[in-house]
Amino acid sequence: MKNKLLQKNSKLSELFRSREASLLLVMILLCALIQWRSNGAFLSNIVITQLTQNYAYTAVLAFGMLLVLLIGGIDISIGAILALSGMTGSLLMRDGFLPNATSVYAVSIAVGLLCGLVIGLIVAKGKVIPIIATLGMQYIFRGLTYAISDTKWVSSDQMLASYKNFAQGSFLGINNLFWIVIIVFIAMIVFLRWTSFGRQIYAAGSNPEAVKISGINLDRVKIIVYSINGAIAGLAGAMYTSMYATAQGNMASGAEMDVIAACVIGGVSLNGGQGTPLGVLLGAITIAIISKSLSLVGIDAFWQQALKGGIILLAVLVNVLVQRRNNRKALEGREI
Amino acid sequence: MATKSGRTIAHVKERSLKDLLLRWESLLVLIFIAVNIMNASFSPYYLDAYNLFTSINGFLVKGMIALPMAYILLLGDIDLSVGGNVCLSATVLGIVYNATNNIWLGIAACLATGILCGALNGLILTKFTELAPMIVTLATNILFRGLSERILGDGSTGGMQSIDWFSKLYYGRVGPVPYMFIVFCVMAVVFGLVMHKTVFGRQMYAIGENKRAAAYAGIKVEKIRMFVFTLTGFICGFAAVFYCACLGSVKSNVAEGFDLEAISMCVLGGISTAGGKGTFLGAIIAIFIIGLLRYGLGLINLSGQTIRIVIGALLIAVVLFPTIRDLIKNRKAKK
Amino acid sequence: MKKLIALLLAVLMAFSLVACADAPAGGDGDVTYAIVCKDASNPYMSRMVSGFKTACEALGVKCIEKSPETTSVDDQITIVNELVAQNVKAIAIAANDAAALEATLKAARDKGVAVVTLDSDTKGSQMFINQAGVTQVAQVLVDSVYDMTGGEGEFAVLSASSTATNQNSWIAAMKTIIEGDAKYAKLKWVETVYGDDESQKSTDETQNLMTKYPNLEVICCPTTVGVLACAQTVQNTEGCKIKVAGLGLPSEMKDYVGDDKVCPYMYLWNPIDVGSCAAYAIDAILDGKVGEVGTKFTAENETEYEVMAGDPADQQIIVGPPFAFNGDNIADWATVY
Repeated sequence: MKNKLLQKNSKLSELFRSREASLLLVMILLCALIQWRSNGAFLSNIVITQLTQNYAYTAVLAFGMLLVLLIGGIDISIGAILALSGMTGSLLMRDGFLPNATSVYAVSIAVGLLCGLVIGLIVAKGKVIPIIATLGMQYIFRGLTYAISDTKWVSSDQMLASYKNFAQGSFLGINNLFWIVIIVFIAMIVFLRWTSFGRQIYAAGSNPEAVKISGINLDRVKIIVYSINGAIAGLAGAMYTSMYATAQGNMASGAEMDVIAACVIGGVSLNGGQGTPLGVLLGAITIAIISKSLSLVGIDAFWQQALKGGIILLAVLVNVLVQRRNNRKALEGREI
Repeated sequence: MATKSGRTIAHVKERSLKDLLLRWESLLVLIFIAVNIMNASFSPYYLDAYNLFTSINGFLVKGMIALPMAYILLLGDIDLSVGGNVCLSATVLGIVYNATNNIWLGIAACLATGILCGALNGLILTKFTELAPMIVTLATNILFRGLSERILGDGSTGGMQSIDWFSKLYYGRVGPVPYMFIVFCVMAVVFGLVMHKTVFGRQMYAIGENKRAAAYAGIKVEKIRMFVFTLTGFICGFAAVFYCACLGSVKSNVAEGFDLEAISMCVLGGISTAGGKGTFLGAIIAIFIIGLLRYGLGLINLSGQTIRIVIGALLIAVVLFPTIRDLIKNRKAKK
Repeated sequence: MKKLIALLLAVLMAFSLVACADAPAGGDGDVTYAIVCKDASNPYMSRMVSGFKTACEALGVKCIEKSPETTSVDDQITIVNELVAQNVKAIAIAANDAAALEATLKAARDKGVAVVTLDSDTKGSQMFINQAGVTQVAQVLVDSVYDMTGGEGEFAVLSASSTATNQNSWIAAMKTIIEGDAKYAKLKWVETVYGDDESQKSTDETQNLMTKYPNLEVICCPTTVGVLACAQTVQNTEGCKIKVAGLGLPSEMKDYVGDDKVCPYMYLWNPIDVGSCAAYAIDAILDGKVGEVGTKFTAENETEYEVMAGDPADQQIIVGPPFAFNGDNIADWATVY
């Protein structure tokens, strides 16, 4: 079991051997292939801006999922949390309760936080296995989304202009939504590396028994992690509705599957304790590239889904093979 | 890994396993009765045998898939690709039938497709044991459905209902009882007996509880996993035949969401996704609880989204049950 | 333990009581018509339902509305069975599949339930309430593309999912029209893409079309969900001169329709009328007023409809030609539907 706790100063050779490096290599190859097949259209300023803007919410969701996966949990309700929080914010905005964009974002995050808190309590205090708890809650959250909106949509003209413009605006040449991704990314790194709670999260995932003995409150860790994940899904809900200028009851259904795939491709272990924000960012970008580029390189519309499944499968398998090789090398190194 | 096995053992120590299971099932039986009483009292139409069986038929295709899903969960694995598998198998049935005009060839191809899809999952998961079944089957689900989309394009395939006996597979009845219900009962009994009365069944429990220990005890863990995933694939193909008989026309979006539905049924039945726990009877009762509850709520014309909330709440309430019970017990003990 | 079970049962009962309170009970003796939508979250469908409901009230019958959560045909089969079990007199359904409901609907008809389809037809239906003829819709779409490109140039189609029945038939009809008339010879149909009626995918596909075809002039979206994402994407792309044509709901598209906007005009029919017409058609069928092709019945506002031969439904009526929304009338219609 790898313990990231101990690797405070990683050596250069280790860096090259890391999952992130191998993933980066795969990504570069993928980009080169697409660049070639799309006649040079892919690596343009416009397409990259589109990519970062359109997949920003997926990337943000992936960071929340990272925390949950690190403690050995899983959350398949994030798509439903996104919808519920995005819908709540948009409905309140439509009815004139929220004066500005910031307040809509705040409401969405708060609703998401609440959803996450409920899941955290069920998982930690109710001792329910995460996948079951979130399966059940997913039904409830999605149902509530339809119920509060009366199955209606919130349309573009019912939204505040500042709210819609925020998602389209940019700062220093980078789209605002991607700034959110960058901020969350940096916050994750700081949180996981330099706070004791972040280290507790890694410990909780890699060896829960030992953690219990060492006096860390596992339940507390779980509740906080699920709450953070919920809040992040709420944030993604606001990003989604401001980006697409519409709130629909069925939005982002199935998003959790893309997000889990992004995390796993990024080297996060579903057994807990393993994974880094950088890996997740790369994984999310990889998924975005796959989704975006399949139609860009002119692949037949009916092939796209099969190909996407195949590529995810391949990426995961390659990851395992690289990891096996690295582990073998690491063992050889230790024998000296 | 350590978490899951550790927790299971702790549970076993706390109270005898048999005791717990007995109570879980008695709870399910109670809920089952409650659901029926509720349905019958709120809707005068509920107790009509013919209509009741029509509705039961409606969820038995999912119910069939829940049977091998119980095995998968028992092993501590998960299979999210069953929906894609059913879709692809049904597609192949339609395509082969239309190409050869021979329904038997179609059925054979459908079953073979199911087995192949299941075997692919099994092969990947047993060759790369460090991979989580969730992510692999997630990807194969997209792959299977994608292949169906590739084959069908924006069209559909159908026409098998013109064969009378084929459409009777789903619609035919003995009195009010559909053939498919009888088939399902036979399958349920066989699956149940294998799980509880055979060495194979006990081996599955052992693997689910602790893979490593099971391997040390000489159980061929990977062989059994391979078999169970392939079996699941086969049942998906088998269910797809009935599904085709029901629909008579296949598009690439059929059988969406079957995976989570089948898993919900098993989980409500007390089969933990962590593996090694649960009985088959529980799963069977749960299939009918979910199905009949949906039907009853549908009869009083609740909207789909409200029904969804009720099912979700029921699922959470039931899985919370052991914890709440312990809590109350402990409180009493303190007094 | 016992207390707990009692509690659980109580909760369950409470749930159902609450539920029962706001459910319209289809008690014996009442005549009830039911409408089944494609899915729960489509505003187009909810407008149709409101028209159906109003007409039911006017006719003095009870109305049940049901929708599956997704556009799945399984759930529609379940719903139809539930309705038949409740002895409803008639079912109007917007079918999610052109063939798969046949056996279920036939069984319903054998029990004496009148079955009509609206919005999307399927085998087994007695009458299709056709919002507008397939060729009619395809014709206005092709003509708007012709007009917006100025007679020649590249255009693409952004559809819903590849399994959407209506969209597929409109696209096929568009192809026939363009190939069959020399007038359209200079129009270049570059690609048909599928946005799955999802914001992220539709946005991706729209942007990719812009990247792939720099000379693209028009994107045609025959889906009320896709057109929204497409118009929004085009509007937010600086310097993009592409025009959006298609079918859209005025209330959702208000921000994008107008002479100086991305979508100069778009088409749709009145979904409220479609729903209302379905109820009157059912009434006429049950009264035995319509039978043969060529017979007529009157619906709301004394509008008369003539029964025509249908395919695959036994018969059909056409509600009306598609209506154009432009900068002048969009604000008014946005309040209606």
